[in-house]
Amino acid sequence: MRLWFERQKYLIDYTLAALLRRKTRNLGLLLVYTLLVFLFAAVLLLSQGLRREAATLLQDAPEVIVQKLSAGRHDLLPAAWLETLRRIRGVSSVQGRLWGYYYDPAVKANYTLMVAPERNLATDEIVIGAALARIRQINTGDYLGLRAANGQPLPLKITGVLESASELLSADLLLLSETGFRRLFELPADVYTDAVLTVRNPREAHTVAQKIALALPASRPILRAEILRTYDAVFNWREGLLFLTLGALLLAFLILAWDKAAGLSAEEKREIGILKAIGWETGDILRMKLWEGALISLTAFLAGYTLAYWQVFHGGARLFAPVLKGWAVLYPEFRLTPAVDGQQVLVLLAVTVLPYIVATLIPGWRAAIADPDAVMRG
Amino acid sequence: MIELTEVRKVFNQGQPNECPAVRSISLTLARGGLTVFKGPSGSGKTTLLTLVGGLARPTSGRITLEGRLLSNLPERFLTEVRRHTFGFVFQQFNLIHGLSVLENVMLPAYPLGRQHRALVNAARELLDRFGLGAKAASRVEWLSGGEAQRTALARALINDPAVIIADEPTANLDSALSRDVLTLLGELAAQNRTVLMSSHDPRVFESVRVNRVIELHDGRIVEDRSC
Repeated sequence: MRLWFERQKYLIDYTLAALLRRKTRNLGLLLVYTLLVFLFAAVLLLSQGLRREAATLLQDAPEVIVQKLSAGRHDLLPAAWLETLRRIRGVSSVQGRLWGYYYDPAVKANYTLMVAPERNLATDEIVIGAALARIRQINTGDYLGLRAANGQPLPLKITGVLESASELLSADLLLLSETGFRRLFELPADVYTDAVLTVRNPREAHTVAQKIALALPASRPILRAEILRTYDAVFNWREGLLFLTLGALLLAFLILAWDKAAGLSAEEKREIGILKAIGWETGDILRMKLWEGALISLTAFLAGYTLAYWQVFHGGARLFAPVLKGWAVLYPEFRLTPAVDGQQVLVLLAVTVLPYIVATLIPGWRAAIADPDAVMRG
Repeated sequence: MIELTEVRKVFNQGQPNECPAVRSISLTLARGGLTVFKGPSGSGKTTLLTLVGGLARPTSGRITLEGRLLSNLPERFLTEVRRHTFGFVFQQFNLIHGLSVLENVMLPAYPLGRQHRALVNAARELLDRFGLGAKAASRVEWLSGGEAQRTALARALINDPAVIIADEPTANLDSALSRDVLTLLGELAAQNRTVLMSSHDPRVFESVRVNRVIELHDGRIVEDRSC
């Protein structure tokens, strides 16, 4: 065993010296390689972090949401439906919700408006999301002027700003009272945007949804699990879009790496010939090349992954956040909970490290299996 | 003892550019002494040395070392024999640039996994013996021709081989340096090592240190004399 370690030590020594002799070339390669790993790891870590964050936040979401459909589109839900829903077996509570969107031409952004009965807000009081407060440069105590559906200005007093821990979903949120909401959009008192239900046994949510569809044929029940799946699909789609772009980059890098690693220079071939002539066997050359590939690719992998980890979890993920967080104008600002997924690391290793090691091994093997007598001929 | 029986080496066999480099050579090389293979360029000296040293395989014929057949050994075993039995000195020195003199000398021993301290000591001892102690840390590209060849000689000896194979070791050196290298090779031969070298330099094969001269022409032995 000691012999094995000693041999590996010598091989690593030689490999490091060989890499340092071609400093510029190898440093350039290492930089490009690190950048590539960084980009891939940043997308993976960010999208996975967002998914986890969304799942955590949606844990408290209602089990079932009921919407009314009209000609296949979301319509306002009549208040009378709430009673019908309450009578369905298995439903423990029903609440009508009021929410909608408001386009603010001043900042060219859409706000999400929502009635929050638990906050007991007065008609002219609102609570706003942190991103909204940032972009409008307003805070508690200030007034925000919105234009009502009848064209009249509606000044609303800010009584609070939502904390940034929940900013993923509340960045552009504006909470107001039911009367304030109805006045802003001129909504009659007997309609709601949708209804939220809790069920006695969450495992029966699916059955309850079927009963709702039967009782109210114009309704669309949405389960929490479906929302989570939709979030997943959206992130997968955005992640896929980025990977497609990065895929081209990966291909370009593989061509570069193959060219650099696979195309042994005349000097490298000569060195392999000398090493064989003085007593190194093909296996020793292959081990040396394996170390070379491993040292470069693992250094790049560690550096790239560490940089990505820092960027995503401590640097605000500024690089890909606009694409992965959403297309909204008001981007949320929040810190993701640091987490590393072992399987993801393995996949990234397989995609970035293995091809490079193979690219260094094959030409080394081809040069090493030749008889070393060429070296005698100078 | 090294024995060659009906050894042939043909390059590019079966191709239009087929080139027979060694034609049916049979030869016995006893242990110890300095043997010089002489002959003009293209006479097969270098090819014969590569075959004896296990750097290439003969097209046909047998090569044995102390009775053990070398010519059909698998590569791994052939390398094993080569690294323990043979030390090589090349015309172009073939030192690895960017490494120090000491590192170059230690290189052949790396795959053996010898203890680092012992290996460094052995390499330093050889460098001191060849007057290169002060140059141990220098990079090999800064050495003069004579220093480079002595470094190559030290490298050839690091695994304590029984046979030294030197291909035109004086070809790139001036007279004084050639004499020095020949003296060193003569001393090694006197220590019961077998030194096999090729040269077409009369100052080498007429030297008093040489024990045997074998002359080659077109891949055949035309003269074999002991001195």
